[in-house]
Amino acid sequence: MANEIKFITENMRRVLLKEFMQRETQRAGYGGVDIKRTPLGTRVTLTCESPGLVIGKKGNTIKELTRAISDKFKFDNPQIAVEEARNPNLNAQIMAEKLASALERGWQFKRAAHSTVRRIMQSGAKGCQIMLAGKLTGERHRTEKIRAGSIKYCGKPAEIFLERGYVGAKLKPGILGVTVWIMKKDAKLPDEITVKKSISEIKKEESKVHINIENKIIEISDKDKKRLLMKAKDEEVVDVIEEADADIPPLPDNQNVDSSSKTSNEGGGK
Amino acid sequence: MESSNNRNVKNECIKEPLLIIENCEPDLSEWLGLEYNHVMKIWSNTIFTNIPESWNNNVNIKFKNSNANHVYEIYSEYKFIVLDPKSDVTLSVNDFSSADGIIIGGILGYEKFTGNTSRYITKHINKKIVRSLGKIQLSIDSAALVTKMVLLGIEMNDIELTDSFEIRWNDNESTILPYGYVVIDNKVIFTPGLMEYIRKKRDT
Repeated sequence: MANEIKFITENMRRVLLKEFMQRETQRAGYGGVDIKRTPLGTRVTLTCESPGLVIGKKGNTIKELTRAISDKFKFDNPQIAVEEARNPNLNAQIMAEKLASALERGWQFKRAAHSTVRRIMQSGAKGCQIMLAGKLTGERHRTEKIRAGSIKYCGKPAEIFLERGYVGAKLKPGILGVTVWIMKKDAKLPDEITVKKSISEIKKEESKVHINIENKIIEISDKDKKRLLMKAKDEEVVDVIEEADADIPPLPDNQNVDSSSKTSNEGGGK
Repeated sequence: MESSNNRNVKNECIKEPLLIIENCEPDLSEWLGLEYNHVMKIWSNTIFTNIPESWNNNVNIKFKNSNANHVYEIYSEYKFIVLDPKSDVTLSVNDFSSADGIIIGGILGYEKFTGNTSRYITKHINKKIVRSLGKIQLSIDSAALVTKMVLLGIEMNDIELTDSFEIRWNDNESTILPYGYVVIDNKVIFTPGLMEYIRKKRDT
């Protein structure tokens, strides 16, 4: 029982710290916080859109924030690291904050949500979903769901590739829950399979060479090409073969041609 | 076949008790009007209490029977079943025999119970039997329909209810109403006109 209480209090402290950081760094574009215990103390990594605002002049703001964390939440020797969000459009928390801010400024919810979805998808996300819950337009609570692309709701892919951001937008009829889910750009689902080529197939492809002689594409093996070159040297027609190698016409439908054309070019260079 | 006949006979014999909708909403919105209209269709012997007089001139709804006073002011001597989600006991057909009517709160609730029925109605009624319709937040008309089904002899456990209702407008957009609606023969009994109203509101 004592252990359970310990876990609950520890997690509560973390949630309260997250809320505190969200509140304090809202202007800098809060994009999430990661709390890790290290042998030296507690490492708080804050992701945000503009780290300069969090750090402040001569690091004054971050020093104040560190002091507040150690005083309010009793974390041992907290160290704050500020990280810039690489692509803010693919950070669910930042996008949720932006959407909430748009709604607070009086944007029509459908327009704001669609614009956010478009922006996320244009940044290369595999999928995204926006949920707005509360008194949107009308007298009663309802939830509006807008999605694009593919979203995984459960299982390992959801755990690994799905990012969730939540913000409460304060509007006149009440608080509106804004939740954004983003399926990461590099998400590879378990059913996406690529069949690798066998070694013998690759060897076969590498050994084949296309040459163009008198407007006819002839496929020959690498060994044959060497033999042909040797023969051509003897008969002084080597220039013709090298020229033909240089302007091999592309054959887009056949993958073999691409790899072989590279080989033939290299051969020509030699 | 025999059982359905019996049920029909039973239906004809049962006289509809008085259903009182105690309005707790400050404004008569279109949504509220649609739900009240549906209640009047479901239950003929209905009276709406705490209805401001100005509401009688509203275009959206024509109250057959309404009163400007609260239910506890008009019927202080009567014993009523109060449908309050806070109660642990669910409504059964036997409860109707000892009561003069049923009271449903005219409240457009939130996603979760906020205790408005007990705050505005239950604690003001003197003679009462407090019952609930389960743990799902029902719309006003669904509550009236469930009550009617219980009155007709269907047990609460046999009534199929939705947890929430999702309206899909297209592949990418949908609206979820987190309220319970009755399902009969795989069809959700939804408030008539509400879908059009929500569609209209989404575009404004």
